Amino acid sequence: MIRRDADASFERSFDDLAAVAYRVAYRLLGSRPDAEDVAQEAVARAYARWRQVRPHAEPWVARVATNLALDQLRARTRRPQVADDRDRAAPGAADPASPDRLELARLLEVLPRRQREVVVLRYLADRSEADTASLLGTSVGSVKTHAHRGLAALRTAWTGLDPDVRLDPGGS
Amino acid sequence: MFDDLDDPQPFRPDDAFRAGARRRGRRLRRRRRLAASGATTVLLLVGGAVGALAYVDHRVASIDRVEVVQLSDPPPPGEPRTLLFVGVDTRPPDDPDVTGSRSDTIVLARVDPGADTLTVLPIPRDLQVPVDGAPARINQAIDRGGADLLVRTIEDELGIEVNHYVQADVEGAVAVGDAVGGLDLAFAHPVRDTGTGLDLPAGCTHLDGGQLLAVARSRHLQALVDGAWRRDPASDLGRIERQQDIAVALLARLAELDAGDPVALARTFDAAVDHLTIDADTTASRLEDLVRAVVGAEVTQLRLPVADETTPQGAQVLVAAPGSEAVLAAFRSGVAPAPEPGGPDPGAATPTFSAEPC
Repeated sequence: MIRRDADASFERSFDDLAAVAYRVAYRLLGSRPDAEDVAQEAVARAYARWRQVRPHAEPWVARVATNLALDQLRARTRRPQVADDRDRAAPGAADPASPDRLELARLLEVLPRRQREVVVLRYLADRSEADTASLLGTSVGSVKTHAHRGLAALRTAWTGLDPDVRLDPGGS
Repeated sequence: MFDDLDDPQPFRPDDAFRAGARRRGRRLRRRRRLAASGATTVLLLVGGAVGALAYVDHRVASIDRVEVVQLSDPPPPGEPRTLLFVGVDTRPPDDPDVTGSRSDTIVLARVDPGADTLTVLPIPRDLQVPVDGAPARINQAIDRGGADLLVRTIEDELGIEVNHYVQADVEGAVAVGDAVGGLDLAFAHPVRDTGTGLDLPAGCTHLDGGQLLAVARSRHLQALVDGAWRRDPASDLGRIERQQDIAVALLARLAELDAGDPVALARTFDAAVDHLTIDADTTASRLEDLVRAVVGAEVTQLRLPVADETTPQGAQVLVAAPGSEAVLAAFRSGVAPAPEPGGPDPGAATPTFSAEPC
């Protein structure tokens, strides 16, 4: 018996896709169960549209995971957040309600759509300029422009953000 | 830049995660498939006007029909049904060693709308079976008694009931191949056919409709193995196998069409219509059911084990080999056969001259 090779190619990509989705979701949500849930849904959606998604699966999944995570955050801020022990995995683990995460999410939401997409793919999902351009159907030059503008907007609104210095969760 | 927001524990998807993703994914696929309310209605969405209705009905009505009384009544909607697909090449053969038969490709496809699966079983055209009482190659059935005799032979000798008959000419493969945006096929070695001008590298290549036709008609395929060009010893038989591989790959590709993309569906339907002959009992709505069942289905490709045998008269023929009954049973039930102990490894290297989907 021979399984359809399209499904086989999905199986081969599975781990990488899950990892990308998880990383993006965790950076925004800071909670392992929440990030896993988002990652699982993002990967499932890729499977449902595998033929179309396959040529640029990783950036696609990163984008879906971002949107799902931002949706969750929007829902969270509407409900008062109760501190949950399970979210504090270990001493020193990132705080899901950390000002940086919430600030990041808020700022992402107010960016113009194109800039948000590029910033998310380039800096949350760590995709290359080429990958990003391919997924968004635009040129590398365009990606550079949007990234530059997006970061500039983030920096203006958020004095703690400096691309040359690693983010410190404890302060700004 | 945002490394500090990362989970200090590395993430590894476990079995529960995997199972959950697959479950959700399958549910999403089904929902997307059901959202497309059938080929005809989808085309209406594309057409958008009352005139489109007439056009679609006209297109479906223009499909050539053939009476195939031997077909079994289709089961109620939602139940699994089997389609017999026959590919014909009407171009007269220019090769004396090519027999005069027209039906080179015979593929059985079982679609299960409930389980969302499509099981595909190509039947080697040279398979020796009793045809109307006397042993013959299975594809001679269609020459002697039309689709009726082929359907009856398949039912009697392979134990498979056929509900629908679809015949396509090989030019249809070109049109449909282009409509679905080509196929990705892989050869194990660089191949060429100086007769048709075919020249492909090793590995996965994207082929358009014209290239697919060139592969399907290539009779003198050569492969570059260990620095030397080797002729396909199977010659015409090799061509038949490749043609079958293309037919199966196209069928599987149809299953992958995006149910949410009415334009692609309409384009494919339009491309196929002129090249099809369908049995007279498959009405437009039954055709719609079939298309709806195929799009988005999970495809499993089965292979019938065959072996060479010499007849008492000294002829070389192809017969069903041990394990074929298990494969036929698997097809009938839509369940994958258990691998034969010590049997061929499905993951084994691709044979030199065959094309695999990739």
